[in-house]
Amino acid sequence: MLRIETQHKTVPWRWVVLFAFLAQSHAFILAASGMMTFTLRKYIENPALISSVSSLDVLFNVLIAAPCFYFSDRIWTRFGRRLPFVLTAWAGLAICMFLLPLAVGAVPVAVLVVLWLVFWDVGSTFAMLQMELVPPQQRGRAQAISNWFGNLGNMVVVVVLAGRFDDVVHFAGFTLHGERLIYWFGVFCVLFCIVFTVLFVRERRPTEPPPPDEGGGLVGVFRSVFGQRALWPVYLLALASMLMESDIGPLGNLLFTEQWGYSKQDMGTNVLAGGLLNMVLIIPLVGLVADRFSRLTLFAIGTGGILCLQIAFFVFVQFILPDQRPTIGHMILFGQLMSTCGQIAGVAFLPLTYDFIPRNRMGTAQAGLNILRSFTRLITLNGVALWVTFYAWAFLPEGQYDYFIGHLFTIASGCVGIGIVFYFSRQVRRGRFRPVGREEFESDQRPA
Amino acid sequence: MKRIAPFLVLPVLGLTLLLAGFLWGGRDLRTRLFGEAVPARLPGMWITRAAGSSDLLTSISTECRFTTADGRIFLIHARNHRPLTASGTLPEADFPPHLKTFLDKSLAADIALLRGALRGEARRADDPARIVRVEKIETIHGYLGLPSAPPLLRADAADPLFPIVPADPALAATRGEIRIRAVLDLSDPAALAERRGDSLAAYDYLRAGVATEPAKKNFYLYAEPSSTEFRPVYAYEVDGRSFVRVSHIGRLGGPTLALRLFHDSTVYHDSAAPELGVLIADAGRPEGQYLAWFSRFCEGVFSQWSLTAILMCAGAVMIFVGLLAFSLEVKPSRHLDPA
Repeated sequence: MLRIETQHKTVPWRWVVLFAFLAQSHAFILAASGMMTFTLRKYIENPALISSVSSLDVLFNVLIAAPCFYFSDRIWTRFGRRLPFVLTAWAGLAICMFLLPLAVGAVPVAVLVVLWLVFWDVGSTFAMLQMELVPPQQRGRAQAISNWFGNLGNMVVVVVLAGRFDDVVHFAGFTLHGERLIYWFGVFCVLFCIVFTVLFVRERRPTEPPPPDEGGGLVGVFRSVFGQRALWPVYLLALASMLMESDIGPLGNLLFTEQWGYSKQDMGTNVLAGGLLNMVLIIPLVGLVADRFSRLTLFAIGTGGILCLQIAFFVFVQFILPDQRPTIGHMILFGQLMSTCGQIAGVAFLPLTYDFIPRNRMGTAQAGLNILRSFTRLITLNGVALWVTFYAWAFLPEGQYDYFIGHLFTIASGCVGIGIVFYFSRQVRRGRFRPVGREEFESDQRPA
Repeated sequence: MKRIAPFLVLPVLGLTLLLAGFLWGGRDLRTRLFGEAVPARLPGMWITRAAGSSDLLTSISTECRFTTADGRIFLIHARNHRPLTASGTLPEADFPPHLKTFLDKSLAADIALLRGALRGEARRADDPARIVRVEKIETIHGYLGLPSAPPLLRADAADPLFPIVPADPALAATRGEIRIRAVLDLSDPAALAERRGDSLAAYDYLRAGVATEPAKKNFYLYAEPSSTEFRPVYAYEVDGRSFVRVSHIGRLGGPTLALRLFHDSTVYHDSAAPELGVLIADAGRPEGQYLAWFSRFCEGVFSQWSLTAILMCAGAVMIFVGLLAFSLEVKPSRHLDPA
């Protein structure tokens, strides 16, 4: 019987489409978890406490996801090396999501949220499974297909699901709460992932031996993750991408609703308009060019474009609009342009990263990327919040905040990011950074 | 057969989901597609709290007093969010245009939007006609402290404040009022500084004459905690018989955007059983703010059909995925390198 397998040099595009369905179902699980803030809010008044519980994600990225990545490179079972982690995690996620809307009280809900975060991080090896299923020369277009599905999924979540959280439907003596609908839809997605994977996905044993165990426990893991010079270019590239992607985070919602006075429904409409354009026009176009141009060039164009547009939007709102309040139309226009650049950068980024990762270091690199991503996110999000607070303390009346000024911080971090991109591309041109991952696949393909 | 069995799992699950979707939404869908449409109105709101007690809101009277920077005061009375003038709108001559825009934001909106609108006025620092103080008094008419299950209701066109009446006379005796008074004031910078920039200068909530502390300092429809359920009440007529029903679609924490209180909507019914009318959210024709209309439209469609749509879409996707996987077994791709 046919199975979707890892370690092939070329794979049918139907595999890619099938796997995109699986990946999207996986993404829906994450989207449903976006409602956890609201579930916590029912029992916990203090927003700082809600943030603390939610931000445990960052800690678990380091403590759980990173070791899972590391060890998944070094084990082999009859089910494979990534699948045992993935399937265990999915079973745990399904149980947590089923119980979450039924839990009553702050402690049970918080415990289930924490367990959910733990299992999500155990299942992070799914990203590597994805990369092992799709060979490098097909990853650009596969990423575009995945992005297309991702956009569709995002629109479904924003327009259909997110708005249902507070709904209550009474039917023939039965009452359905929107919160349960959303979480149990997440459970359904997990079950789909499990059934699909068990039926159709198989890992093949890699031909190269696993990298040696560095020893030394957790310290050894960290030494192995960050001590390998071969992976430093990857981390540098990832750091640039993360700095360019930094936004004002939760303050963005406050800016939209409190400072600019729009509703949450308008937020959904805003995302939908951009998402539709992305699906119909932008992603197919980007997908067409993804594997035809240098990924590094595409990444530089995308990231540079985002930075220029961020600066333009800041100047437009702060210095051109009389009431410093953009309309939804303005936001859709700027948001769509930024999203287009983001699509270009995004389609190029992941395959570009994997071009520079040796095949037998994928798990280790993923572990390092996860740690780096967590700490960068922690620093940029808190940096924005501190900057907005400092600005309010220094320049605004007491109790008033200008959340929009947070964009200055993201522009500054974007400037650092673009500097790193230029440094990286110079090192590639000089041959100091080599795409070893891509070279390995190309040498495999050469006739003996 | 053993070889084909794994490929049958997803299509069979998909068909089951399609069937479940049809069972859940089939009746509503049939009534919507093949039933008769009659105009309906949403004259009230059934509000159930987690503790078990309910209120039935039947009308809202509002009094707004706007003070401009040059000391002029404009007083506006409204019922059910419409100004009490002969035309239902404000006369052009007596009210400046910006006040009319401001009033639109004041009557039905929550206190945060009113705060924002007042902040916006403050930006026009040189305009003596800018509004610096708003006093809004909202009086809710209805039946207070009812049991949690919706009772049988009937229409009473004679009383504009209580156009809906519980059929049970004992429940009809629970008529009461809730009075909320909020003052937002930016006229006195010293007092404003004392309130740490908060424009809300005074707030009172009287339930049947008794001072009460609501979950949120806001107007009635926005003052409840997230566990309180809001279900619109709809009224329609078929062949001279009038029906008043509580909608089967509700929302926690506040009213739904789709079924707007005191607005018109549509009920679809089977002519053989007109009492089983299905209320369908009607966003109306797209006009005014298109994006706001679109948000209402989405909320109406998805609050009514989301579960049916999810079950059917998920079923269709599973069937498609199963068939696509089977196609690889029937016709393997030439792209796959030899294992």
